Amino acid sequence: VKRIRELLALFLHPYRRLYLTGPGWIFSAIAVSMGLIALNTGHNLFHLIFGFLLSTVIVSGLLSERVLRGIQVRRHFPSDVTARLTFPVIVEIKNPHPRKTVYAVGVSDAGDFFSRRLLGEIPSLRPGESRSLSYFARAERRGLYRFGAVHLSTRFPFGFFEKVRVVPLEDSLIAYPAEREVAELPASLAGRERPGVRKQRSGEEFLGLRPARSGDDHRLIHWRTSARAGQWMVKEFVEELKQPRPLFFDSRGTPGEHFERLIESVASLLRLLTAKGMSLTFATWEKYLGRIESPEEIKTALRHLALMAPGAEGSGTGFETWRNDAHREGGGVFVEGELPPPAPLPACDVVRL
Amino acid sequence: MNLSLSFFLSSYFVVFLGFLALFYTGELSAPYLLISGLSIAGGAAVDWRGGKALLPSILANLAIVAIFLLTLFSIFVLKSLPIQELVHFLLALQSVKLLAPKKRRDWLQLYLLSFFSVVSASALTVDLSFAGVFIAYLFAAPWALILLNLKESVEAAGQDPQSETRLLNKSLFTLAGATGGALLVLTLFFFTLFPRFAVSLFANSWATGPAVTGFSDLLALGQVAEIQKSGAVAMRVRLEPPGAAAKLHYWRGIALDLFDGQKWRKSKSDGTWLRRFGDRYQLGDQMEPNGPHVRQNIILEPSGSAALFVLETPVALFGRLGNLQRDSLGNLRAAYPFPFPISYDVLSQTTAVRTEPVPGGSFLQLPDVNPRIIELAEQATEGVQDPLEKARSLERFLRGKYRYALDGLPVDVEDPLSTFLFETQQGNCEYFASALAVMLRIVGIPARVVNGYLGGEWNPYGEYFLVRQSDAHSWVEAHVPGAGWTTFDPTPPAPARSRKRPLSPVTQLFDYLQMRWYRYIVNFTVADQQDLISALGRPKRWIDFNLRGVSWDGFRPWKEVAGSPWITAGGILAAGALAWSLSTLIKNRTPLVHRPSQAATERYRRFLSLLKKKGISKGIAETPDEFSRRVGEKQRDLAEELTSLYQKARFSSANPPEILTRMDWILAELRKSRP
Repeated sequence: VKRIRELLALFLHPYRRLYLTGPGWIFSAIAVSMGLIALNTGHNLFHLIFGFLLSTVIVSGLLSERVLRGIQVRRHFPSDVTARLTFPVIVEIKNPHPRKTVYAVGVSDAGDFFSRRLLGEIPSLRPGESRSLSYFARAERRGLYRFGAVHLSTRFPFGFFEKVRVVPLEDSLIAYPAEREVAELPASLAGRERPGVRKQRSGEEFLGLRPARSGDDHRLIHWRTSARAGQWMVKEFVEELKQPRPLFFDSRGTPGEHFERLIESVASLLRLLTAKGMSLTFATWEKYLGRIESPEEIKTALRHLALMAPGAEGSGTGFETWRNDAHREGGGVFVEGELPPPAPLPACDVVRL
Repeated sequence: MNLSLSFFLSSYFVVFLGFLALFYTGELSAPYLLISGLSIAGGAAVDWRGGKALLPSILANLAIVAIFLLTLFSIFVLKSLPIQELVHFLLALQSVKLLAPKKRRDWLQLYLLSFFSVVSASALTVDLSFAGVFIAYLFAAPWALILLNLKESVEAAGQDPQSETRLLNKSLFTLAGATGGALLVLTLFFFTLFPRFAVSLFANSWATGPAVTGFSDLLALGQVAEIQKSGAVAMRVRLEPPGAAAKLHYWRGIALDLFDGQKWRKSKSDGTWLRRFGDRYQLGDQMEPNGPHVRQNIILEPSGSAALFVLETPVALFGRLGNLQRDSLGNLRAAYPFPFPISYDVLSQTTAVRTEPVPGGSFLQLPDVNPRIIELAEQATEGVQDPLEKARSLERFLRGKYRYALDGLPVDVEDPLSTFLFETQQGNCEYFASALAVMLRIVGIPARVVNGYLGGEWNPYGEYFLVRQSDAHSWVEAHVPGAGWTTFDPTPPAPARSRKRPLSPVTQLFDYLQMRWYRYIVNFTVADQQDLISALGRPKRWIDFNLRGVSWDGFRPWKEVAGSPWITAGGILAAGALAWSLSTLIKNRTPLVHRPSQAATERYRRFLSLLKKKGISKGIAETPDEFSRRVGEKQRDLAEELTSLYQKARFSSANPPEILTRMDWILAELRKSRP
């Protein structure tokens, strides 16, 4: 059943499409007329010419297939994409065949966030040769975006038919919420020497070794263990760090422009605070994201915000965890959403963005 | 050559082929030939120089409208032949388009006009020349379209086709050649399998063939002589059993029975339509089961005559010829003259007596005959009683006393027969035949004049007779009691100087190809298709049957030529050179992949093979470095350097072209050095 379903899907959405070009319509009309004339007159030379026209169709199909078959396509785009900021996309076309030269290939690309566009024409691609075509794209809003299939098209050899090979590249990207200026920061969040700032760790007691993470100081690498383990290992010290500042975003509300603006503001606030070197934990109703310090942790938070829909009170453990953090820390930050804050709130700064 | 120039040359060649196809039809009048030729040359010269078009666009458009109106006027008012006007229209349009500015669309239109020219030519001629043009077109037109497509692609990529030379490489030429070959094979495949119907819905009545013969119901004395001056092909005949070829054959066409002193004609039109069973026509006569017979496969060229030619006494006829008639004189004719060569088979009995009834007095009818002729006939048969012997006496008399000539014939005189018999005493076959027929009638033997062809030239390649218009002949059939209608030929042999020259081996070979073209392309029928389908089960039998006409006898003269020591030596040298080139090509065949590692590996392999020839082989467990150190002192430095270069190209991102060049140089040095 699965196989039949696959075949049916292939039949309904074939990876090859064929269109008649302007000259192709004329050619087809002539071929049909020639066939009728040959049948009516019985004149063998008309049959011969009709045979020539039919074989032109066959050869055209075979050669266009020869051009399109086996071409490798790759799409490259940045891993971090922010809404309303243009980013480059590169489509790489490669002819992996050791002998075959490919002629007259057109490349087009499409995505959820832009309509199909012709990237360019490649007159020839010699054996083993690859060519890159690039363009700029832009996502207007946060969220998950999927690229469409890359289309390789050719009118080779005679220009009567345009054959399209659909290359189903399953690429997708998450556009982080757009940047928005955060005008007023609460006093508790401004300045580097506020609670939650990281302390220096030199001279403290050695705790153990752990695999290195992005952003680790290379001076902490333990070379011998790294060589033995085959991966970078760094020394960890006991730190007397103060607990990070717990930040909660009240994600309740209704979908719409206002909610989008709120998300963008929260994302901008996170970027701003981490850029200032502050240590934070972040939570929404649905999820507690924990510490937001390293670039990977920031990306995780932004990805969460990019995909977030308006939440509901009690829809997850995020709020409870944040409240415990805030009690332990002796305060926290509550970013107000569309609705009034729930009662009772622990001792915290309520921020309206 | 850049892409632009190549496209330009190919496009003009396609246009020229369309013109050539029409030229070979012989339907083009001199002014059109001149205008078309000049426009092709003019357009090419302007495009070559990249100058301004000779005809501005507005003028070109006006000219096209004018040509269209003139064509309509010519067809509907002047009542010209539509097909001819269509050809003229195509050529005029092509001339205007060639001289006007050309964009992509204009080139496509020119290709289209060229294609229509080829189609029109196929309607006007079935000559082998069309096959040549068609095959050339089959390769040239796709090539031009490929170049047009590539040119567009290059322009779309923002490049200049004039500076694009990289595209025109071996790979593209190979692809284009293979495309042409595939088109040819597939064209023949579709041609063979495309369904045919036994009867065409529309006959090709709009096409006309050259009317060159006098084979009609009316023959004026002197008319056959005009035909005999032509060397054009009349028909090709293959005989079965082949032994029948040894005999001199009378290809019977039209028999005539009424003579008015100057012209022969038929006394009445009494043709009856023949019954038809599929492709078989029943001629009425029953064949003796074990009697001698001969089967003729005849390919008849268009001649403007509806007469069909057969041998001796036909009993059955096979072919797709539409309705056929047969009259009381035994004449076979089609409903209308065929505009194209036709093919048919006839089964004839060779010893049968013609049993057509003697229709009254028309075979004894005499015009107002000169008494001297009566006297002559009686003198020639004096003392002979037997009718057959009388006829032979008259035949011998004419053969012996008169001379054969094609010139100085008594044409446009009041009594041509008397002039021939008593004054000039020389003439061609029709005078001899007329004289014999009249003299036979004078002595009371029913007689009639028959027009047809005599003999033909044997083609050793295809084992068939090539009958030309110069083989046209007249003879006499006399009704002899007991023997029925018997053939008498009073014409003496032509003198050596007036005999036609035999065809050269080259012409014979060409004619053989032409015959095959007519038989298997122009006259390909439903029956042939059925043969092919049935042959799927027994291919060997089918091949044997269809190649039965192919003979190597024709190649004997070539064998003599090839027997010359110089030719043989040249042939051996050429074959050797070809074999060497091919082996070198195969040996040096390197992948087209431009990966330095592969190219370097290829060179390293050559290095190993070179050293192996010098007696130094690399062990299986030996590394390249170890091996290079083992090479003799003289070559060690080179070997080590080559190994090092190979490893660099293979395992690092070193500059590949320089490495490859250096490796080539080292290989050349190693070849020169001795171990």
